[in-house]
Amino acid sequence: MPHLREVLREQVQVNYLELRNAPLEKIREVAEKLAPQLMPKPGVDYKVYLSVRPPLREGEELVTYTQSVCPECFSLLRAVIFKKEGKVWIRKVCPEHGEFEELYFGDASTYERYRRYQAEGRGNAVTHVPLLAPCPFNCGVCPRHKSHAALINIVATNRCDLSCYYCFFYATKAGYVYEPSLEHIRYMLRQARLAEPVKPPAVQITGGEPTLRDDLLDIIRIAREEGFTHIQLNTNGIRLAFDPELVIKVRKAGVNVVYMSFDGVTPYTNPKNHWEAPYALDNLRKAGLGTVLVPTVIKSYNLSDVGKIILFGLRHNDIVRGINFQPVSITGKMPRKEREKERVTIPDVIAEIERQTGGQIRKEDWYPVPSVAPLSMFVEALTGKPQLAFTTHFACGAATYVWQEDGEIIPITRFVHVDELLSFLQEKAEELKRGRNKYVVLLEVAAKLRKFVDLKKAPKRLRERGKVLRILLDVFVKHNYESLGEFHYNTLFLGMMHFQDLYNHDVARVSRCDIHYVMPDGRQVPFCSFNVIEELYRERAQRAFSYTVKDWEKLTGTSLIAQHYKRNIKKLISGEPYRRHYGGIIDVDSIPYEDHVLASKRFGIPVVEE
Amino acid sequence: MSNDLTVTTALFKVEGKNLVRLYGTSREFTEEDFIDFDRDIGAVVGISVNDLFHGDSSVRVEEVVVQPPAKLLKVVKVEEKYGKTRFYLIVTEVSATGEERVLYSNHRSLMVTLNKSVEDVSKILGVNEDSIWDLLK
Repeated sequence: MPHLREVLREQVQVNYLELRNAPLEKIREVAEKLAPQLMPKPGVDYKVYLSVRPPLREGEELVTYTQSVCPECFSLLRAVIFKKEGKVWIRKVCPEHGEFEELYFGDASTYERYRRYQAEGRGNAVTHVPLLAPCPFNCGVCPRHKSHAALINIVATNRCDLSCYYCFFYATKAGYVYEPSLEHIRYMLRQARLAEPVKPPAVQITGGEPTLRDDLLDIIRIAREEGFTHIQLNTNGIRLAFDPELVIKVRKAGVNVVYMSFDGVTPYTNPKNHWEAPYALDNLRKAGLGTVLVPTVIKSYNLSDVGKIILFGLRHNDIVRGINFQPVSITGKMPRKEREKERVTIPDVIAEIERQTGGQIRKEDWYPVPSVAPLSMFVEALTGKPQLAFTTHFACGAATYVWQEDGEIIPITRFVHVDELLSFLQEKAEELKRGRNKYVVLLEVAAKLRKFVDLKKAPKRLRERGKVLRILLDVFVKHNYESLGEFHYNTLFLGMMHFQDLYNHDVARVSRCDIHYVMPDGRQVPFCSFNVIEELYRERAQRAFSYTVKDWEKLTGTSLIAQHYKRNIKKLISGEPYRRHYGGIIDVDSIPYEDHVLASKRFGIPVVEE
Repeated sequence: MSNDLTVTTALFKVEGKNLVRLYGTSREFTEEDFIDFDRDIGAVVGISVNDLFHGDSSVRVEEVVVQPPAKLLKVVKVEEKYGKTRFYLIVTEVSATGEERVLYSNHRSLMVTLNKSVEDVSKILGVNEDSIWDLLK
């Protein structure tokens, strides 16, 4: 897929061969000087056409108006969100490029249900950029932003050992190598931890493929030193599959969980790492390092596998802590008919999960991300201290927890009255804010918590010695969060995160985002600005602080091509871990070798053929 | 009150130990005001221009001319239909050359009680706390 547009502007560039050895203060000086130059410019990078109101047509019911960007020229437009045929859509009209209409949310009733849970965030007392432009052209994070960051993403490298056909991000395609020095990484993480009133506790080290960095363990240690208490490593799992020592070292250095791509259970639905995943899981087991599987869901590609992915996760729940489904974000320019073939939204995936699990995980079992805000409100009211709160837009993500017992899947809603519990905590938070004695409130909470839990329906391992009640008491009454860890070791977390693209872009969602990337110029940018308007954020900032490919290859004495992975399918499918992991989920013997090879090659990953 | 939310602002200038209300001319809110709105209201209260797009809204701009140098107190009052009223206090200093600098703001990101804000603003402006409380009605 071609890039959306060619951008002609003066490139801001640093000589990274010099900067790579610079101390933090010098890096800060350079970053602070460059950041204003890298900000989007009105009239050059975008225009504003907010007076054009997109039409509503017959049979369409207005939900609301919002703002969005033109997929062709990034101009800021007024957009309308409306219901039609039981779904929710977004439409915008660019005076230069015409009308764009896109599916926004696949089920209107779920949209209305999720909308009720929207909670407002506190924003950020420390912001890295002044407010000089409309959203989303002022990211940094700006004073207007509504949520504080819960997770910071840091790109450790744009190098990758895979060459997935749809990816433009990796170094060979991008035409430059972005790989910040350790001091530069320290600078970026320190910038992110300046946040007030709530500092982001979690960081995800991502890429490209971060395990390609020889100094990955140093990066993890720097993240700990800079105050992050929860460290995630985002990976394709290839190196983890073949290097058990690395997995142990990564855990010892401080990683809490590995986020591993996992698009499906067959070679057809997961040509990225179907063959290596079992070996990676075994090495994670040996190291005692849990993983969250991350499937990108595309309608025509792997929507049919979502149920089996959950069964796979439950089968390997000893090491798989969760599955985070990501409905596809469409990159590049794609005509509407093509987009309709691929487009899938959160309700669509949830509906398929319900169907594929025989109704065991129903759509009512899922809750939107901001639904848990009353938990934060309660603890904040109790302690008087600002708490991490998930105040993203209700359409961004959803989650539930499930257990498996005697072959049956048990979602949390079977034994916890979630809505009643959340309302109760919200009510108690309001009482505390009005000045009610906190010890009286705590006694009430302790006494009444059990009425929200139907112990008879809870999984055995949570019923034993009243474990689930003890965990709830520890969290809400004693603020002992180690119990949350105990809770997570017993369950499979199921999440959905639908990152936007230029077609379904909504400024209301961007302004509430709580997953931020920290950039080499010190700015902190919401996920959907960094990756959706990538030419103005990710691409521009990373290119400014990059090596040329030639310089990097001369510096390291190796070539980008040399690191590309070649798959030995025969060896992988004949190994015991492969059969053990997939047995009972797919018929491993029914897939011809040639199909394995074709699946890998079509995806862009070459195969070693003996 | 038929609105879900009403936000009003009032500007005061410090003159000696007193706070004198400043008035200006009222005009329509246009696209050219969007950034100022987000800076003055969005960043403080949490209601941005995007929120205005989401529902029915009505905004007026009051343009006040200030002779520099000056110390100013802006009081932002937020009234929710079925909720309580909140006040935000912003202190700015305008230098002799006309440059503006924010000295204090109890914006939504901070967990500061109104009592504490009034106490802090009183010290910064050198005015009696009672004269600030008189404005918060």
